[in-house]
Amino acid sequence: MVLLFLFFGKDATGQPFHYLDVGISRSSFNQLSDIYSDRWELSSVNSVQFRTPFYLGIAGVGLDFFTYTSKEGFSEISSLSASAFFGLNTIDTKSIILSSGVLIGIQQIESTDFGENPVESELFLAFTLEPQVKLKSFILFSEFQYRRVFNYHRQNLLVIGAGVKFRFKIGDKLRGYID
Amino acid sequence: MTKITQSIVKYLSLSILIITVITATVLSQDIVLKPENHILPYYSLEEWIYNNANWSYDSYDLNSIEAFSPNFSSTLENEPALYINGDRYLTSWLTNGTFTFPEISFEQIDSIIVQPYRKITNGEFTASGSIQIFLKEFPTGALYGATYINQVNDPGPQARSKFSSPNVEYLSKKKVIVFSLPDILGTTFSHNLDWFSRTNTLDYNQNTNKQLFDRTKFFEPSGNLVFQRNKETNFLLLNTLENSLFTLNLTSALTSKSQYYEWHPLSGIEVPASHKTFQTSANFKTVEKGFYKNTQLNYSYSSADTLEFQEIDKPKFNLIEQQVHQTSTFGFENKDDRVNIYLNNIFYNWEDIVTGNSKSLLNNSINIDYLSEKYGSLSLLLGNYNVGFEYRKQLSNNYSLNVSTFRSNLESSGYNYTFWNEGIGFSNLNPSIHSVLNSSSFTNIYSTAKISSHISTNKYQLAWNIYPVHYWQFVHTNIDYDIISGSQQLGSEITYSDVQNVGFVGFFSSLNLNLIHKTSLRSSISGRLHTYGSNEYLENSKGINNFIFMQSLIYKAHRNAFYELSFRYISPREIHEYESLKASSSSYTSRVRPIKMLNASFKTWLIDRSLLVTLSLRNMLNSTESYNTNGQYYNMSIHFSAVLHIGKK
Repeated sequence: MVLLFLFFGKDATGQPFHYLDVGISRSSFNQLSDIYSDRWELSSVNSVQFRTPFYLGIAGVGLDFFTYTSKEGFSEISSLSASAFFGLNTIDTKSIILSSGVLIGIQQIESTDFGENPVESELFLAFTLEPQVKLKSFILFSEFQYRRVFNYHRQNLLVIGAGVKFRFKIGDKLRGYID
Repeated sequence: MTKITQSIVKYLSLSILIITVITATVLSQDIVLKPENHILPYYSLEEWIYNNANWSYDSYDLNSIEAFSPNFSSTLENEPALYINGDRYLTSWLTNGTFTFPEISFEQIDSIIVQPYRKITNGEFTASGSIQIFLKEFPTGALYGATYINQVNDPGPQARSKFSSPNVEYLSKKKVIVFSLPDILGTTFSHNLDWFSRTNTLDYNQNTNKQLFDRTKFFEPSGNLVFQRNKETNFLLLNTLENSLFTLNLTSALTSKSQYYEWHPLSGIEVPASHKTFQTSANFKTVEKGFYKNTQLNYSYSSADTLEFQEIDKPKFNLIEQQVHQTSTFGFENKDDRVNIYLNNIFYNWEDIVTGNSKSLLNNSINIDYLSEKYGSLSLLLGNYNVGFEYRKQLSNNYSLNVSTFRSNLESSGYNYTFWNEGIGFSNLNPSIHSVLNSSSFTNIYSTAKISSHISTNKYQLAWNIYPVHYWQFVHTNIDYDIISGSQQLGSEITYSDVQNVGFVGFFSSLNLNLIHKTSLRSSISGRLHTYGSNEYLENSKGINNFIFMQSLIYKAHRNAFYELSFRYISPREIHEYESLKASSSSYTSRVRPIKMLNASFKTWLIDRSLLVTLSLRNMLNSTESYNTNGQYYNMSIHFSAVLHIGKK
C-alpha cells in the first residue's frame, strides 16, 4: 500500500479535509466459502461511510450492519463491522470518480450460542472499487468489494451494492481546527 | 569443532579484545529512541523498546518480557536497569526474570536511551544494561488513551460447531489516563489498565499438543476450565518539589497483576498467580554546585501468591520481597575534569509465607568515576557483589571505546540456588523429581571492549558497535526437564558449574537513510558474530538468537501523518532445556524456528495534534507455530489505538 502511494504519491497529496462525503448504501453479500454458505445465510448489508481527502489520497471510516441466519437452527447472529479506508481517486473528473482502496476493519458478531465468550471480534481486509457519478453535492456510487475475514477458517465474501453520498464542503476555519 | 580449532578461535577472539583495548578510542554510542519518529506496532512499551533497540528477548504473554542478556545466571542481573527521568524504577521481583513497568504513553515520552550491554550506570553496575526513559515537560491537562489488539483465528460464526476453534476474542485491551498539574508540586499522575491474553497458537493446535494445550487453561473455583484473562493495573505518581536550595523528585508506583501466569523454572510450568508491587522513591538534589550532589532512596514491597483455584499438583508459593536502594553522589569538577563518587547500598529481604523461611542480603559498593576531556573516563567499582573498572574514551568525532573488567559474586544476589538452599519459593516441590546440584563457586569474571561509531550527515545516519566479551570464569547453569507420567509438572534437574575461557563477539548496527519524496529507510541488525568456549557453554548459547534484522520503510506524508512498512527477521534458536523432552516425546521440540514478521502501520494526529490515532496490521505473513507459547509472534493481529490530549499544548 505504501509503495502504491509512493508510486502515485505526487498526485495523491491533496488538500486534507477539504470536504467530507457522508454516504449510505445497501449491498448484498456473496459467500465464496462453502464452509460458511452451507451453514449460514447473510442478510443485506446496510452501511454508512465517511470519506475525506487526507494528507495522502482519501481516508475514511465506515460501519456495516447485517445478520447471519442459521440453516441449522442456531439463533440469529447480529454483526457490526467497523473499518478504516485508505485509497485513491484514480479517476477524478467533473462528473465521474473512480476510487479504489483497502478497508481494514473488525467484524464483531454476537450470539448467546457462543457460550462463555458471546462476543466474537475478527480482523477483515477488503479491496474495494467505487465508481461514482457526481450530481452537484450528491454522489451516486456503486461498490464492488472483495472481503476476507480472518476467522480460523477464512471467510471470503464478494460485496456488491449501491448508495448515495452527500458532499459537505469544509470551511477553512473548521479545516484548521481538524488539521 | 576440534579442540585445536576451538583454541585458535579462542585466542583470535582474545587477540581482538587486546588489540581493541590498545588501539581503539571511545564514548559509548547509545541507542536513542524518539517515539515521535517511530510507529512500529507493539503490545507493550517494553516490547516496543526491545523491538526498536533490536534487543533479543522472549515472552510468554508479551506483557512481561525477558531480555536475553549475555549472562544466564543471577536473577537480579537478568533484566536491564530502568530509570525514569534518572530515577531508578524496579521492574522485577525474586526469581522472576521478567520485566514489567507502567505503560507510559508515548505522548509523555521525549526520548529513551537504551544501553544493551554491561556498564556502570549512575554508580550502579547494570549487568544487563539499562533503559532510561526521559519524559516531556507535560503541560497542565489530561490524556486519555485506549488500545485494542485483536488476533486472527477466532471461530467466527462457526463457534459451537464441528468447525469451531478456541475463541481468544482479543489479545490486549489497554486504557491509560494521565493528569498533569505541573503547578501543584509538579504532579503527574497516570493510571493504566491492561487486559491481556496469552492466546498463543497452542490454542489453535490442541490436537498437536494436548498436554501443553491444557496447561494454558486454568480451573475457576466453579470447576470450569477456561482460558486465562490476565489483568494488570498500574498507578504512577511523579512529583517535583523545587526551591532555591534543592530539588526533590518523588516517584510512587503500584503495580498489580491480579491474575496471570508465572513461569516456574523448576517445575517447567506456568503457574496461575497474582502479584503486587508498591514502590516509592525520592531523589534529593542540591541546586548549588558543591561536593554533595544528590541522594536517591528507593523502597519496594512485592508480594506474589499462587491463585487458590490451581490444579492440585502445581507448586504453591506465597512470597514477600522488600528492597531498599540508596545511592548518594558526591563530586567536584573543574574546566576539564570531573570526579563523581557514588555510595550505593541495596538491602533485600525475602520471606516465604508458606514455610516461614526468610533470607536477607546487603550489597554495598563505592564507585569513583573520573572524567577527563583529555584522557577519557575511568570508573572504579568496589563492592561485595561487584568489583571492577570501566574505561571510556572518545577517540574522534565518530569513534569511541569502552573497556571494562568485572568480577561478580553471584551469592550476593538473588539466585535460584540461594532460594533453593534457603527453602524459599520451592516449598511444595517433590525432591524425588526436582533437584538442584552445585559445583560452582558462583563467581563470574569477564572482560569486554566495545568500539562504537556514529556518522551523521544530511542524507544518512550510520551507527555501529562491536564488542567482544570474554569470560575468564562463567557460572554455567544447566536445566534438564523430564516428563513425569500423570503430572502436569515436569521433572527437573538444575546443575551449576564453572566453565573457563568462554565468550562471544556481539555487534549492533543501524542505518537511517533519507530517500526521495518524504521517504526514509531504517535498517538495523544486531546479534553475535561468534561464540566460543566449552561444550556446555556452547549448548546454552544456542538459546539466544544469532542475529535480528529489522528494516522499515517510512513515508511521512505530513508532520501529522506517517505510514510505515516494516520487516523483522529473528534467527532460529535451540532451547537446550527441552532436549530431553524432545527425545522422549514428539509433542516437544527444542527448536524455535526463525521468526519473519511483516507489519504495516499508520498514524495521524488530528484536531491540532490533540488526537493521535494509530492503526497497524502486524505479522501479515501469519504463519503458525505449534509448540511454545510465542504464538503472538506468529499470528496476524490488528492494533487500533487513540490518544486524546486535553489541555495546554
